[in-house]
Amino acid sequence: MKHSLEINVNGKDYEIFVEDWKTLLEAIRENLGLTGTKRGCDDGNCGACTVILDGKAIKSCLLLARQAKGRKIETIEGLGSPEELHPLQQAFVDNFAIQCGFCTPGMIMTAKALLDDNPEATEEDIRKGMHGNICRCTGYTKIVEAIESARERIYKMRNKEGSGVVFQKKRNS
Amino acid sequence: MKFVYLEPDSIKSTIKLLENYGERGKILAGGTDLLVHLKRRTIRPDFVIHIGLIKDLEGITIGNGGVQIGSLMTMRMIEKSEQLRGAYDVLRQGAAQVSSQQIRNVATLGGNLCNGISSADSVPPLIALDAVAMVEGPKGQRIIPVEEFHIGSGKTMLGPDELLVGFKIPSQPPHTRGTYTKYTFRGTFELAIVGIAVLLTLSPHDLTCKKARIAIGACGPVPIRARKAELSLIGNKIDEHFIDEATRIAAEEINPNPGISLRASASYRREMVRVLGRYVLKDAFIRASKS
Repeated sequence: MKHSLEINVNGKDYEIFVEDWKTLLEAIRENLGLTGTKRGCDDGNCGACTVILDGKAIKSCLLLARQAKGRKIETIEGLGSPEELHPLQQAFVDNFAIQCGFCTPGMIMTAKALLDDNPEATEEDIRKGMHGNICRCTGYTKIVEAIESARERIYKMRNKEGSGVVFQKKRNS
Repeated sequence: MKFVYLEPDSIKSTIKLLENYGERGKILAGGTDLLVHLKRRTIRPDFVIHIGLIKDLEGITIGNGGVQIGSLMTMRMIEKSEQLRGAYDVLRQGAAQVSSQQIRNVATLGGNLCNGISSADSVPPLIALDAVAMVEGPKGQRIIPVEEFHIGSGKTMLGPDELLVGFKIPSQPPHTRGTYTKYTFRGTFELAIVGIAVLLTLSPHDLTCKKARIAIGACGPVPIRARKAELSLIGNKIDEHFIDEATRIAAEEINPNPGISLRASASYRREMVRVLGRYVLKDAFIRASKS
Protein backbone atom coordinates (compact mmCIF):
# COMPACT_ATOMS: atom_id res chain seq x y z
CA MET A 1 0.00 0.00 0.00
CA LYS A 2 1.29 3.45 -0.86
CA HIS A 3 1.63 6.18 1.72
CA SER A 4 2.44 9.83 1.27
CA LEU A 5 5.99 11.10 1.64
CA GLU A 6 7.27 14.67 1.55
CA ILE A 7 10.71 15.22 0.09
CA ASN A 8 12.66 18.21 -1.20
CA VAL A 9 14.46 17.68 -4.49
CA ASN A 10 16.57 20.31 -6.28
CA GLY A 11 15.03 23.04 -4.16
CA LYS A 12 11.39 22.05 -4.67
CA ASP A 13 9.03 20.36 -2.22
CA TYR A 14 7.15 17.31 -3.46
CA GLU A 15 4.50 15.03 -2.02
CA ILE A 16 4.75 11.57 -3.51
CA PHE A 17 3.02 8.27 -2.82
CA VAL A 18 5.28 5.26 -2.37
CA GLU A 19 5.24 1.82 -0.80
CA ASP A 20 7.33 1.42 2.34
CA TRP A 21 9.94 -0.64 0.52
CA LYS A 22 10.70 1.75 -2.35
CA THR A 23 14.27 3.04 -2.46
CA LEU A 24 15.10 6.71 -2.92
CA LEU A 25 16.45 5.81 -6.38
CA GLU A 26 13.07 4.39 -7.40
CA ALA A 27 11.22 7.40 -5.99
CA ILE A 28 13.45 9.85 -7.87
CA ARG A 29 13.19 8.02 -11.18
CA GLU A 30 9.64 6.69 -11.09
CA ASN A 31 7.67 9.15 -8.97
CA LEU A 32 9.49 12.30 -10.03
CA GLY A 33 10.55 11.27 -13.52
CA LEU A 34 14.12 12.43 -12.85
CA THR A 35 15.91 9.73 -14.78
CA GLY A 36 19.34 11.36 -14.81
CA THR A 37 20.18 9.28 -11.73
CA LYS A 38 20.85 5.73 -12.93
CA ARG A 39 20.18 2.25 -11.59
CA GLY A 40 23.43 0.37 -12.26
CA CYS A 41 24.18 -2.48 -9.87
CA ASP A 42 21.36 -1.66 -7.43
CA ASP A 43 23.45 -2.97 -4.53
CA GLY A 44 25.69 -0.11 -3.58
CA ASN A 45 28.82 -0.83 -5.59
CA CYS A 46 28.83 1.08 -8.88
CA GLY A 47 27.81 4.56 -7.71
CA ALA A 48 25.67 5.38 -10.77
CA CYS A 49 22.80 6.13 -8.37
CA THR A 50 24.72 8.78 -6.41
CA VAL A 51 22.77 11.86 -5.32
CA ILE A 52 23.54 14.51 -2.73
CA LEU A 53 21.56 14.34 0.54
CA ASP A 54 21.95 17.29 2.91
CA GLY A 55 25.24 18.13 1.24
CA LYS A 56 26.68 14.62 1.33
CA ALA A 57 27.07 12.17 -1.54
CA ILE A 58 25.04 8.99 -0.95
CA LYS A 59 23.99 5.96 -2.97
CA SER A 60 20.27 6.28 -3.50
CA CYS A 61 19.81 2.57 -4.23
CA LEU A 62 20.76 1.86 -0.61
CA LEU A 63 18.37 4.33 1.03
CA LEU A 64 14.68 3.72 1.51
CA ALA A 65 12.67 6.64 0.13
CA ARG A 66 11.18 7.17 3.58
CA GLN A 67 14.62 7.73 5.07
CA ALA A 68 14.80 10.92 2.96
CA LYS A 69 11.73 12.49 4.57
CA GLY A 70 12.30 16.18 5.27
CA ARG A 71 15.85 16.16 3.85
CA LYS A 72 17.33 18.07 0.92
CA ILE A 73 18.17 16.04 -2.16
CA GLU A 74 20.16 17.25 -5.17
CA THR A 75 20.22 15.27 -8.40
CA ILE A 76 22.11 15.86 -11.65
CA GLU A 77 19.10 17.68 -13.04
CA GLY A 78 19.63 20.34 -10.39
CA LEU A 79 23.08 21.30 -11.66
CA GLY A 80 23.47 24.04 -14.19
CA SER A 81 21.14 24.56 -17.14
CA PRO A 82 21.27 23.73 -20.86
CA GLU A 83 22.42 27.32 -21.51
CA GLU A 84 25.02 27.28 -18.79
CA LEU A 85 26.43 23.99 -17.60
CA HIS A 86 27.81 23.63 -14.09
CA PRO A 87 31.64 23.83 -14.16
CA LEU A 88 31.85 20.09 -13.49
CA GLN A 89 29.50 19.29 -16.36
CA GLN A 90 31.42 21.60 -18.69
CA ALA A 91 34.73 20.10 -17.56
CA PHE A 92 33.55 16.56 -18.28
CA VAL A 93 32.58 17.61 -21.80
CA ASP A 94 35.77 19.61 -22.43
CA ASN A 95 38.08 16.87 -21.14
CA PHE A 96 36.47 13.92 -22.97
CA ALA A 97 35.52 12.34 -19.64
CA ILE A 98 32.30 10.91 -21.11
CA GLN A 99 31.98 7.87 -23.38
CA CYS A 100 28.73 5.98 -22.88
CA GLY A 101 27.71 8.47 -20.21
CA PHE A 102 26.04 6.02 -17.84
CA CYS A 103 28.40 6.62 -14.91
CA THR A 104 28.54 10.35 -15.56
CA PRO A 105 25.69 11.70 -13.41
CA GLY A 106 26.94 9.68 -10.44
CA MET A 107 30.52 10.77 -11.06
CA ILE A 108 29.54 14.43 -11.22
CA MET A 109 27.42 14.35 -8.06
CA THR A 110 30.17 12.60 -6.11
CA ALA A 111 32.74 15.07 -7.46
CA LYS A 112 30.55 18.02 -6.55
CA ALA A 113 30.16 16.79 -2.97
CA LEU A 114 33.89 16.16 -2.84
CA LEU A 115 34.84 19.65 -4.06
CA ASP A 116 32.21 21.36 -1.90
CA ASP A 117 33.73 19.66 1.13
CA ASN A 118 37.35 20.14 0.06
CA PRO A 119 37.79 22.91 -2.55
CA GLU A 120 41.55 22.26 -2.60
CA ALA A 121 41.28 18.53 -3.19
CA THR A 122 44.48 17.16 -4.72
CA GLU A 123 44.59 14.45 -7.37
CA GLU A 124 45.04 11.88 -4.60
CA ASP A 125 42.09 13.28 -2.63
CA ILE A 126 40.00 13.12 -5.78
CA ARG A 127 40.98 9.54 -6.62
CA LYS A 128 40.24 8.47 -3.04
CA GLY A 129 36.97 10.38 -2.93
CA MET A 130 35.78 8.82 -6.20
CA HIS A 131 36.39 5.24 -4.99
CA GLY A 132 32.67 4.59 -4.86
CA ASN A 133 32.05 5.27 -8.57
CA ILE A 134 32.91 2.80 -11.31
CA CYS A 135 33.42 3.50 -15.02
CA ARG A 136 33.75 0.73 -17.61
CA CYS A 137 34.61 3.00 -20.54
CA THR A 138 37.12 5.71 -19.84
CA GLY A 139 39.82 4.27 -17.59
CA TYR A 140 39.28 7.19 -15.16
CA THR A 141 42.20 9.39 -16.30
CA LYS A 142 40.01 11.88 -18.12
CA ILE A 143 37.46 11.90 -15.33
CA VAL A 144 40.12 12.85 -12.79
CA GLU A 145 41.50 15.53 -15.13
CA ALA A 146 37.99 16.93 -15.61
CA ILE A 147 37.45 17.15 -11.87
CA GLU A 148 40.81 18.87 -11.37
CA SER A 149 39.99 21.32 -14.12
CA ALA A 150 36.59 22.02 -12.54
CA ARG A 151 38.28 22.52 -9.19
CA GLU A 152 40.40 25.28 -10.71
CA ARG A 153 37.50 26.99 -12.37
CA ILE A 154 35.27 26.82 -9.28
CA TYR A 155 38.13 28.08 -7.08
CA LYS A 156 38.77 31.01 -9.44
CA MET A 157 35.11 31.89 -9.49
CA ARG A 158 35.11 32.11 -5.69
CA ASN A 159 38.56 33.53 -5.03
CA LYS A 160 39.57 35.35 -8.21
CA GLU A 161 42.71 33.23 -8.47
CA GLY A 162 43.77 29.61 -8.82
CA SER A 163 43.78 27.13 -5.94
CA GLY A 164 47.52 26.63 -6.01
CA VAL A 165 47.04 22.86 -6.11
CA VAL A 166 49.67 21.59 -8.48
CA PHE A 167 48.06 20.08 -11.55
CA GLN A 168 50.21 17.00 -11.92
CA LYS A 169 50.14 14.49 -14.70
CA LYS A 170 51.74 11.32 -13.41
CA ARG A 171 52.18 8.14 -15.45
CA ASN A 172 53.38 8.18 -19.08
CA SER A 173 54.31 11.84 -19.23
CA MET B 1 11.12 -7.03 -0.73
CA LYS B 2 7.92 -6.14 1.09
CA PHE B 3 7.56 -4.90 4.64
CA VAL B 4 5.96 -2.34 6.91
CA TYR B 5 8.18 0.66 7.75
CA LEU B 6 8.11 1.84 11.34
CA GLU B 7 9.84 4.95 12.68
CA PRO B 8 9.97 5.11 16.50
CA ASP B 9 11.23 8.38 17.96
CA SER B 10 12.80 7.10 21.17
CA ILE B 11 14.82 4.20 22.54
CA LYS B 12 11.86 3.28 24.77
CA SER B 13 9.37 3.06 21.90
CA THR B 14 11.91 1.09 19.86
CA ILE B 15 12.25 -1.49 22.64
CA LYS B 16 8.46 -1.75 22.81
CA LEU B 17 8.32 -2.45 19.08
CA LEU B 18 11.11 -5.00 19.36
CA GLU B 19 9.29 -6.69 22.21
CA ASN B 20 6.24 -7.14 20.00
CA TYR B 21 7.82 -7.63 16.61
CA GLY B 22 11.45 -8.50 17.37
CA GLU B 23 11.49 -11.88 15.67
CA ARG B 24 9.78 -10.53 12.55
CA GLY B 25 11.51 -7.16 12.51
CA LYS B 26 14.89 -5.71 11.59
CA ILE B 27 16.51 -2.53 12.83
CA LEU B 28 17.38 0.03 10.12
CA ALA B 29 20.12 2.50 11.03
CA GLY B 30 21.97 3.74 7.92
CA GLY B 31 20.87 0.81 5.82
CA THR B 32 24.01 0.25 3.76
CA ASP B 33 24.16 -3.39 4.88
CA LEU B 34 20.48 -4.03 5.57
CA LEU B 35 19.27 -2.90 2.16
CA VAL B 36 21.68 -5.25 0.41
CA HIS B 37 20.31 -8.18 2.47
CA LEU B 38 16.73 -7.10 1.79
CA LYS B 39 17.30 -6.86 -1.96
CA ARG B 40 18.98 -10.25 -2.06
CA ARG B 41 16.14 -11.69 0.02
CA THR B 42 18.66 -13.20 2.46
CA ILE B 43 16.43 -11.81 5.17
CA ARG B 44 12.72 -11.14 4.82
CA PRO B 45 11.41 -9.19 7.80
CA ASP B 46 7.79 -8.14 8.03
CA PHE B 47 8.82 -4.94 9.79
CA VAL B 48 11.72 -2.58 9.21
CA ILE B 49 12.26 -0.35 12.24
CA HIS B 50 14.05 2.87 11.29
CA ILE B 51 15.95 4.29 14.29
CA GLY B 52 17.73 7.06 12.36
CA LEU B 53 15.77 9.87 14.02
CA ILE B 54 16.50 8.95 17.64
CA LYS B 55 18.71 11.71 19.01
CA ASP B 56 19.75 9.71 22.08
CA LEU B 57 21.67 7.37 19.82
CA GLU B 58 23.91 10.14 18.54
CA GLY B 59 26.90 11.97 19.90
CA ILE B 60 30.42 11.51 21.17
CA THR B 61 31.06 12.36 24.84
CA ILE B 62 34.43 12.39 26.53
CA GLY B 63 34.40 11.94 30.29
CA ASN B 64 33.54 9.33 32.89
CA GLY B 65 36.87 7.65 32.38
CA GLY B 66 36.72 7.28 28.62
CA VAL B 67 34.61 7.99 25.56
CA GLN B 68 30.99 7.23 24.85
CA ILE B 69 29.92 6.99 21.22
CA GLY B 70 26.30 6.71 20.11
CA SER B 71 25.56 3.76 17.83
CA LEU B 72 24.13 6.05 15.11
CA MET B 73 27.41 7.92 14.58
CA THR B 74 28.30 7.56 10.93
CA MET B 75 31.72 6.50 9.70
CA ARG B 76 32.15 10.01 8.33
CA MET B 77 31.37 11.62 11.70
CA ILE B 78 33.90 9.33 13.37
CA GLU B 79 36.47 10.00 10.64
CA LYS B 80 36.12 13.77 11.08
CA SER B 81 35.78 13.80 14.86
CA GLU B 82 38.08 16.24 16.61
CA GLN B 83 37.54 14.38 19.88
CA LEU B 84 38.78 10.95 18.81
CA ARG B 85 42.45 11.85 18.93
CA GLY B 86 45.43 10.32 20.67
CA ALA B 87 44.89 6.62 21.35
CA TYR B 88 41.33 6.79 19.96
CA ASP B 89 42.69 7.78 16.55
CA VAL B 90 42.95 4.09 15.64
CA LEU B 91 39.14 4.02 15.52
CA ARG B 92 39.14 7.00 13.17
CA GLN B 93 41.52 5.10 10.90
CA GLY B 94 39.14 2.13 10.84
CA ALA B 95 36.12 4.28 10.04
CA ALA B 96 38.05 6.16 7.32
CA GLN B 97 38.75 2.88 5.51
CA VAL B 98 35.17 1.68 5.27
CA SER B 99 34.20 1.36 1.61
CA SER B 100 33.71 4.71 -0.14
CA GLN B 101 32.73 8.30 0.61
CA GLN B 102 29.06 7.66 -0.15
CA ILE B 103 28.85 4.65 2.18
CA ARG B 104 30.73 6.39 4.99
CA ASN B 105 28.24 9.25 4.89
CA VAL B 106 25.43 6.88 5.83
CA ALA B 107 26.87 3.74 7.48
CA THR B 108 26.80 3.70 11.28
CA LEU B 109 29.24 2.37 13.88
CA GLY B 110 26.47 0.29 15.45
CA GLY B 111 25.45 -1.17 12.13
CA ASN B 112 29.02 -2.15 11.31
CA LEU B 113 29.15 -4.29 14.45
CA CYS B 114 25.63 -5.69 14.27
CA ASN B 115 26.01 -6.87 10.67
CA GLY B 116 28.28 -9.53 12.15
CA ILE B 117 30.80 -9.72 9.31
CA SER B 118 34.37 -10.48 10.29
CA SER B 119 35.88 -7.98 7.85
CA ALA B 120 34.17 -4.93 9.42
CA ASP B 121 36.79 -2.19 9.54
CA SER B 122 35.64 -0.44 12.72
CA VAL B 123 35.71 -3.62 14.79
CA PRO B 124 39.43 -4.45 15.18
CA PRO B 125 40.08 -0.89 16.42
CA LEU B 126 37.22 -1.19 18.92
CA ILE B 127 38.60 -4.51 20.15
CA ALA B 128 42.09 -3.03 20.44
CA LEU B 129 40.63 -0.21 22.55
CA ASP B 130 38.86 -2.72 24.87
CA ALA B 131 35.53 -1.17 23.88
CA VAL B 132 32.20 -2.45 25.13
CA ALA B 133 28.80 -2.36 23.44
CA MET B 134 25.86 -0.98 25.43
CA VAL B 135 22.69 -2.86 24.68
CA GLU B 136 19.12 -2.25 25.83
CA GLY B 137 16.14 -4.58 25.83
CA PRO B 138 12.87 -5.26 27.65
CA LYS B 139 14.79 -6.84 30.53
CA GLY B 140 17.05 -3.81 30.91
CA GLN B 141 20.57 -2.85 29.91
CA ARG B 142 23.63 -4.99 29.47
CA ILE B 143 27.24 -4.54 28.48
CA ILE B 144 28.92 -6.79 25.94
CA PRO B 145 32.67 -6.49 25.22
CA VAL B 146 33.06 -5.85 21.50
CA GLU B 147 35.54 -8.75 21.39
CA GLU B 148 32.73 -11.11 22.38
CA PHE B 149 29.97 -9.56 20.28
CA HIS B 150 30.47 -11.68 17.17
CA ILE B 151 29.76 -15.35 17.75
CA GLY B 152 29.97 -16.63 14.19
CA SER B 153 29.88 -15.45 10.62
CA GLY B 154 26.92 -13.09 10.44
CA LYS B 155 25.86 -13.95 14.00
CA THR B 156 26.04 -11.69 17.02
CA MET B 157 25.07 -11.77 20.68
CA LEU B 158 22.32 -9.24 20.09
CA GLY B 159 18.90 -10.70 20.86
CA PRO B 160 15.93 -10.06 18.55
CA ASP B 161 14.36 -7.79 21.16
CA GLU B 162 17.53 -5.79 21.82
CA LEU B 163 18.94 -2.49 20.55
CA LEU B 164 22.60 -1.50 20.45
CA VAL B 165 22.57 2.04 21.83
CA GLY B 166 26.26 2.88 21.94
CA PHE B 167 29.85 2.09 22.77
CA LYS B 168 32.06 2.85 25.74
CA ILE B 169 35.81 3.02 25.26
CA PRO B 170 37.82 3.15 28.50
CA SER B 171 40.46 5.85 28.82
CA GLN B 172 43.83 4.59 27.62
CA PRO B 173 47.21 4.85 29.40
CA PRO B 174 49.46 7.73 28.30
CA HIS B 175 51.81 7.05 25.37
CA THR B 176 49.27 4.74 23.73
CA ARG B 177 48.84 4.95 19.96
CA GLY B 178 47.69 2.61 17.24
CA THR B 179 47.25 1.91 13.58
CA TYR B 180 44.56 0.11 11.59
CA THR B 181 45.16 -0.95 8.01
CA LYS B 182 43.23 -3.25 5.74
CA TYR B 183 44.70 -5.21 2.89
CA THR B 184 42.72 -5.42 -0.35
CA PHE B 185 43.50 -5.63 -4.04
CA ARG B 186 41.55 -2.57 -5.09
CA GLY B 187 41.63 -0.04 -2.27
CA THR B 188 39.27 0.62 0.61
CA PHE B 189 36.24 0.05 -1.59
CA GLU B 190 36.69 -3.73 -1.16
CA LEU B 191 35.98 -5.81 1.92
CA ALA B 192 39.19 -6.46 3.82
CA ILE B 193 41.10 -9.62 2.96
CA VAL B 194 43.03 -8.98 6.16
CA GLY B 195 42.39 -6.10 8.58
CA ILE B 196 44.79 -5.48 11.45
CA ALA B 197 44.61 -3.03 14.36
CA VAL B 198 47.63 -2.65 16.62
CA LEU B 199 47.54 -0.49 19.75
CA LEU B 200 50.75 -0.08 21.75
CA THR B 201 51.54 1.52 25.09
CA LEU B 202 55.24 2.34 25.44
CA SER B 203 57.29 3.35 28.44
CA PRO B 204 58.32 7.00 27.96
CA HIS B 205 61.84 6.33 29.27
CA ASP B 206 63.13 3.47 27.15
CA LEU B 207 60.25 2.82 24.72
CA THR B 208 59.71 -0.73 25.97
CA CYS B 209 56.27 -2.08 25.34
CA LYS B 210 54.03 -2.01 28.40
CA LYS B 211 50.77 -3.03 26.75
CA ALA B 212 49.90 -4.38 23.34
CA ARG B 213 46.67 -5.13 21.54
CA ILE B 214 46.61 -6.86 18.17
CA ALA B 215 43.13 -7.34 16.68
CA ILE B 216 42.69 -9.08 13.33
CA GLY B 217 39.58 -9.09 11.14
CA ALA B 218 38.62 -11.06 8.06
CA CYS B 219 40.83 -14.01 9.01
CA GLY B 220 38.17 -16.21 10.51
CA PRO B 221 34.46 -16.26 11.22
CA VAL B 222 34.91 -13.56 13.87
CA PRO B 223 37.54 -10.87 14.50
CA ILE B 224 40.07 -11.98 17.14
CA ARG B 225 42.79 -10.71 19.40
CA ALA B 226 46.17 -12.32 18.76
CA ARG B 227 46.91 -12.73 22.47
CA LYS B 228 50.07 -14.81 22.16
CA ALA B 229 51.52 -12.29 19.71
CA GLU B 230 50.62 -9.49 22.14
CA LEU B 231 52.42 -11.26 25.00
CA SER B 232 55.55 -11.68 22.89
CA LEU B 233 55.88 -7.89 22.76
CA ILE B 234 55.40 -7.04 26.44
CA GLY B 235 58.53 -5.79 28.22
CA ASN B 236 60.54 -5.61 25.01
CA LYS B 237 61.90 -2.79 22.93
CA ILE B 238 60.13 -3.49 19.66
CA ASP B 239 62.62 -3.95 16.83
CA GLU B 240 62.73 -6.03 13.64
CA HIS B 241 63.27 -9.23 15.62
CA PHE B 242 60.20 -8.75 17.84
CA ILE B 243 58.11 -7.57 14.91
CA ASP B 244 59.00 -10.72 12.98
CA GLU B 245 58.25 -12.90 16.01
CA ALA B 246 54.94 -11.25 16.81
CA THR B 247 53.65 -11.40 13.23
CA ARG B 248 54.79 -15.01 12.89
CA ILE B 249 52.87 -15.91 16.05
CA ALA B 250 49.81 -13.88 15.00
CA ALA B 251 49.71 -15.70 11.65
CA GLU B 252 49.32 -18.96 13.57
CA GLU B 253 46.64 -17.58 15.89
CA ILE B 254 44.14 -16.75 13.19
CA ASN B 255 41.48 -19.23 12.20
CA PRO B 256 40.69 -18.84 8.49
CA ASN B 257 38.44 -21.25 6.68
CA PRO B 258 40.77 -24.10 5.66
CA GLY B 259 38.61 -24.96 2.67
CA ILE B 260 37.47 -22.79 -0.17
CA SER B 261 37.16 -19.10 0.53
CA LEU B 262 35.78 -16.64 -2.02
CA ARG B 263 38.49 -14.09 -1.72
CA ALA B 264 41.66 -15.64 -0.31
CA SER B 265 43.01 -19.02 0.81
CA ALA B 266 43.95 -19.71 4.41
CA SER B 267 47.66 -19.83 3.58
CA TYR B 268 47.46 -16.50 1.75
CA ARG B 269 45.75 -14.90 4.72
CA ARG B 270 48.41 -16.23 7.09
CA GLU B 271 51.11 -14.84 4.83
CA MET B 272 49.36 -11.49 4.61
CA VAL B 273 48.99 -11.32 8.39
CA ARG B 274 52.78 -11.51 8.52
CA VAL B 275 53.33 -8.99 5.73
CA LEU B 276 50.65 -6.48 6.70
CA GLY B 277 51.25 -7.14 10.39
CA ARG B 278 54.84 -5.99 10.05
CA TYR B 279 53.78 -2.75 8.47
CA VAL B 280 51.02 -2.05 10.98
CA LEU B 281 53.17 -2.95 13.99
CA LYS B 282 55.99 -0.71 12.80
CA ASP B 283 53.61 2.15 12.13
CA ALA B 284 51.93 1.79 15.53
CA PHE B 285 55.33 1.76 17.22
CA ILE B 286 56.37 4.97 15.44
CA ARG B 287 53.13 6.69 16.44
CA ALA B 288 53.42 5.54 20.05
CA SER B 289 57.07 6.51 20.35
CA LYS B 290 56.27 10.01 19.10
CA SER B 291 53.46 10.50 21.61
